[in-house]
Amino acid sequence: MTVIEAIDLSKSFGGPSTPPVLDGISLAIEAGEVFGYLGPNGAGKTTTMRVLLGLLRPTKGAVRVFGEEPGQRDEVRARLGVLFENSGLDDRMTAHQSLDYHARLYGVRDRRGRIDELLDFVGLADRRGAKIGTFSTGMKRKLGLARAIVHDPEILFLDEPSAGLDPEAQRMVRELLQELAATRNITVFLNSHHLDEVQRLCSRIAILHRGRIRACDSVENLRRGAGADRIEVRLSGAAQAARAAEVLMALHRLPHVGVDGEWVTTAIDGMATPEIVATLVRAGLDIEEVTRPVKSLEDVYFEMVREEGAA
Amino acid sequence: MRAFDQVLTIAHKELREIVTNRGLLFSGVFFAGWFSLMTGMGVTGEDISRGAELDNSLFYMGALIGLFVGYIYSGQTYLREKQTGIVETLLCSPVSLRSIWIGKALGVALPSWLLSLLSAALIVLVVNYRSTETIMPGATVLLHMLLVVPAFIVAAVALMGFSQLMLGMRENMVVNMLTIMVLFGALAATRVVVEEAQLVTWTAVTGLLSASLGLLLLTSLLGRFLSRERIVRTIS
Ligand SMILES: Nc1ncnc2c1ncn2[C@@H]1O[C@H](COP(=O)(O)OP(=O)(O)O)[C@@H](O)[C@H]1O
Ligand SMILES: [Mg+2]
Repeated sequence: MTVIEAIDLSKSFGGPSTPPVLDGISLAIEAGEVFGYLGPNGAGKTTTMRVLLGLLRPTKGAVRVFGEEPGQRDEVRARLGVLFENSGLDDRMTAHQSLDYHARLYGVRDRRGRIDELLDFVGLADRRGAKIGTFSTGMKRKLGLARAIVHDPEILFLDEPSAGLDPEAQRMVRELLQELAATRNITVFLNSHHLDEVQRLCSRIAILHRGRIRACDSVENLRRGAGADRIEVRLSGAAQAARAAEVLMALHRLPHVGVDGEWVTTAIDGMATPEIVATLVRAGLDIEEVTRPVKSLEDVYFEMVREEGAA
Repeated sequence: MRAFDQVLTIAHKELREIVTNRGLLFSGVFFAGWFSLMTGMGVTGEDISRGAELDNSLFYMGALIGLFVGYIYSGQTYLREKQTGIVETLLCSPVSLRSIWIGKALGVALPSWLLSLLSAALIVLVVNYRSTETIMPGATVLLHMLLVVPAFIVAAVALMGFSQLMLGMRENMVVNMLTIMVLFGALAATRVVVEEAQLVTWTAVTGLLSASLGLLLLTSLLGRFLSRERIVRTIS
């Protein structure tokens, strides 16, 4: 079941002359997915999330959450949980007061039990009576997460949940999210510019750059897809590899042939892989291994972000 | 019913924050105390005219002190929460914009009104301390403090809250300056107004009550213009 949908969504903040912040975004997120929305600062991640939450209206196109236009009915908002970068907590309240306040607003029934359970979950049970103003950023983020799920939402929106945290706190927040995704059937929309976090948490990601989605797929497919136009061939020695490169270049059909030790790499847009292999075998070369290079998500990400930036 | 619970929850939260925050409580009490002392000391006419002068002071200062304290507290409630991003999270909850707005207004108006009652009591004490006879406020002015002043404060706080939620930071600074100037102007005019005339008549009280109710009506009409987009876009 599709729970979040964007159809050709555009958003501008200025008049018609200012370029749109979001430009033709289309997305469909299924129930139970942990969806990563990846992009550099200023790409439009927070803006997208605000539109999905009904805080901003689309300038063009439409969004649907649970099949409805968001921001219209309280009942739809009651099924969503949100954690913005600032955690949305009041420094003047204690941890317990803050959770109790939100639980009341969402009409949570057994508030006491629920709050104890959540404070336990995020490891802040011993700080329940402490003022939030005395908390570190990491503690605030964890408490913010507890606050965001106090009503057991069906969709959880997270805006850069690890931003501004030290590595230790980042890991703790990530582990909490992993546990949450594993133990509850919750859909997660995760904004991030943190590649490692997205890679570890998300089943599917979209890469956003300058208000446009540049790619949207599973991490595996993205990494494979990015290398689909190349192969790497390992020969039985560096001399053989050099010879293989000469053979391939002599064909004048493969534009990007390179040698690295006993490896030869080539683009394959001019020829099919079996044909290349056959050519090398006919030239009397000993092939040990043929692979498709798989790039890291980082490589894929920077390629998309750079490509667009240069354009 | 649900909306009513939510309004009460928000009002309760704001009220608790004001009451348990030493700085906030102190600034309110200090302000209310100072002006009621000044006002009480200012009532210096002949004993016969002191009753009328006391009534005038209460009529005027009761509303004004409540308004001023409400002004201080509303900035701490609406504007602070908007700037720190608390409001944005609240806007994603199943609470209507109107409930958020009214809940906060009630949470701010109640302590402001209590402080204005406290000021009134203090003014009466000071005046009596400096007088040979016992001077008590009239029934009209009591009705004014108990009925008109709270309605007036709620409406005024809701209006201030509306502008703080809906306007950008720069516009809010301008509105704040103007509000302060008007309030201080009104405070400065106290003596003149209080000594000038017989303020507290049934007509005056009914007039202010109608004005407050009109203000409340205007406020509730304004509620239609509240918009999540507008609030979110004026956060920074
Ligand atoms: N309220 C606003 N008014 C004008 N421009 C805005 C507003 N909010 C965001 N923007 C612009 O939209 C772009 C995307 O912002 P944002 O969605 O916050 O990006 P991200 O979350 O990916 O860092 C930025 O260039 C930002 O300046
Ligand atoms: Mg952002």
